[in-house]
Amino acid sequence: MEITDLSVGVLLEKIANRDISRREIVKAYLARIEKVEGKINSFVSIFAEDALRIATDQDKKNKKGVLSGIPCGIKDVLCTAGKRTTASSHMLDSFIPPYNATVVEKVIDSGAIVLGKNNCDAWAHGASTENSDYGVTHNPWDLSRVPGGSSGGSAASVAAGEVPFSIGSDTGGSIRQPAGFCGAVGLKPTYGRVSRYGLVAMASSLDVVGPITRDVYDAALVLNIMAGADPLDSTTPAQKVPDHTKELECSIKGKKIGLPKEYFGLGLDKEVEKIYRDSLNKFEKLGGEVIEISLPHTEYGIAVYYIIQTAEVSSNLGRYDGIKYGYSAETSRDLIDFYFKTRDEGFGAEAKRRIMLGTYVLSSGYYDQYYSKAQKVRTLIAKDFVKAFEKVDFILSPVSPTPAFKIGEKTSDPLSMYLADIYTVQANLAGIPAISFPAGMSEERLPVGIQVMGPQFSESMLLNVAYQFEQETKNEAWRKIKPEI
Amino acid sequence: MKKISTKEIEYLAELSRVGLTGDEIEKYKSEIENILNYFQKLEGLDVDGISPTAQVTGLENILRCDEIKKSDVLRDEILNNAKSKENGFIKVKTIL
Repeated sequence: MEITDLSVGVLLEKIANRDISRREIVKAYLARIEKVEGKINSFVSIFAEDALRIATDQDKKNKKGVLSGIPCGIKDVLCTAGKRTTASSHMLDSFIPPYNATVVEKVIDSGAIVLGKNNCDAWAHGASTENSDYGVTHNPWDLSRVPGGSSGGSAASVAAGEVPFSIGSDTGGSIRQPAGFCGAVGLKPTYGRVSRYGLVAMASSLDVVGPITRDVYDAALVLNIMAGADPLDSTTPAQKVPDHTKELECSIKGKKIGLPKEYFGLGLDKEVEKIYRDSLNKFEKLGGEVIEISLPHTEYGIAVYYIIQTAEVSSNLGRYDGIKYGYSAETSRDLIDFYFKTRDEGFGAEAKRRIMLGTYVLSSGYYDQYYSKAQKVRTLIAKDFVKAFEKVDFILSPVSPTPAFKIGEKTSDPLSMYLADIYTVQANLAGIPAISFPAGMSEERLPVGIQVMGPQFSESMLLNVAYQFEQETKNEAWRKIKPEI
Repeated sequence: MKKISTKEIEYLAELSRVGLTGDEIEKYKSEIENILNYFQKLEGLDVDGISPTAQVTGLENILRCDEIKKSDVLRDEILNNAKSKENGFIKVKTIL
C-alpha cells in the first residue's frame, strides 16, 4: 500500500515504530497532491513549504502529539492565522485572518500538519461545490461528477488520497453528503460539541464543525481532538469529552435500530434504496433489532431548514461591507452606494439568492408567516426525534436520495438542489449528531453512503455502530475498488 | 401560487444592500417565487401552543467576570485587512 492510502491510525503506528518519518509522510501527500490536484481541484490554498518545515521540525524533536505528523486539509471556512481564508468567495479573496479558529488551534496543537485549505461552495452555500468562486471540485470516482457539498473539497481530497483527513462544516448536510458521494466517513457532531469560534458563520443555530476521514476509527480520533467547551463560543455546553475510540469494539447486539417509515419514496434512487435495505439486514446480523418508527414532520424539513437557514445567513452575511476586511468596491458615490457595489460585486448568485430569501422571511409582514412558523415546526421536528429515541437507540437512513450527480445537472434549478437535502437537514434542525459512512457502490461505481443519527452527545455510540458495520463489511468486493484518477 | 413583484425584489435588494441589475432582478424573481411557493407547504400545519426553537443547547446567559484579558491578536494584523486606514483607525466614508 502507498503511504497515501493509509489511514490516520495506521500512519500513527508507523511513526511510533519509526517505520517512516513525518517528513516522508508529508512529502508523499504533497507529491500525491501534485499528481492529481489538477484534475480534482480540491484546494484553494496549499502550504507545501510550511508543511515540510513543520514535519522536519517535529521529526527532530520527536514531537509528542496525538496526531503528530499527520497531514490534513481544512475547509476554507475556518480561519487559519496568517493564511488566506476565503470561504471560497471572491468577497474574501484577500482576507488573512489574524487568528486561528479554535478547532484549527486544537488540530495544530495535536501535531497535525495543515497541508492546505479545501475548496467548498462559497459561504458553504450549496451541495455540490459548484458555487465555489475558485472552480468546481471534481469527484475522484468520476471526474465528470460533483463531489457533493458544501465540504466537497474536503471529501474529495480524502477520497483522492491527498490528505488522510480534513475538517469540514455541516449546516444542512455539508459534511455527510459529500462524504457519502466520495466514499468517505463524515461526522456531524452534536450542535455545540465543537467550537464555532473562527468558523465563517453561515446559520448560527445550525452550523457545526466535524471531521471527514477514511475510516471510522480516524473520525473518533479526530473528534477527540476537536471536541470540548470553549470560552470563546458560548454555545458550547460544558459536556465532558469522552474518548470516542473506547467503545468502538463493543458489540451492538440488542441495539434497537429505528427505520423511519417516512424515509422511503422521497425521490430515493432504486440502487440507493437497495443498499440501504441491505445495510439494515447487516445490522440485524450484528444483533440489532430493526423497529419501524415514525418521524411525522419529515416532509417539512426542507421548508423549515431553508427558511431558518436563509434568515440566519442574511443576518450573518450583513458584516461583509468592504470596510474592515474583504473585497471593497473601487468607486462609489457615498457609503450606501459603496455597500451596494461591494456586495453586488463581491457576492455570487447563490449568496445573493439566500440573502434575499432570508431578508424576505424576516421582513415585516412576513416574519410570522415564515420565520416564526418555521421555528415552531422546528420544535415539532426536534420532538419527533426525542420521541423516537425513547423507542430506539439510533436511526438508520440514507444520506442522499441519489449517488453523485453530474456537474451542471442541477444548477439551473436551485430548488431541485435544495430538495436533495431531505435526509440530512433533519439532524441539524434537531441539533443531534449523525455520521455518514460507506455502505456500497452503484452500478456505475459511485459510492453510496448511509447515515446513523442518535440523541445529543451520543457520538461514541454512533461511532461504535458505524465501526461495527465497517468491520462486518470490510471484505466485501466494493471495498476493494479505488478511484482511478 | 405565490407571486412576488419586481418591486418586492428591488425592496429586498435595497434592505440587504446588494445592488442588482435589471436582468438579475428578473432571474431572482422567478427563482425566489419558486422557492417561496415551496415554503407554502407549512401553511396548513397547526402550530398552536408550540414554542419556537431558537437554539438547541438550552444554554442561557453564559457569563464571565468582567476582567480584562490581554488579546493575542495584534492590532496591525487586524488593520492589514482593511482597505482604508488612517492613524491606526479604519477609515469610512461620510455617514452623516
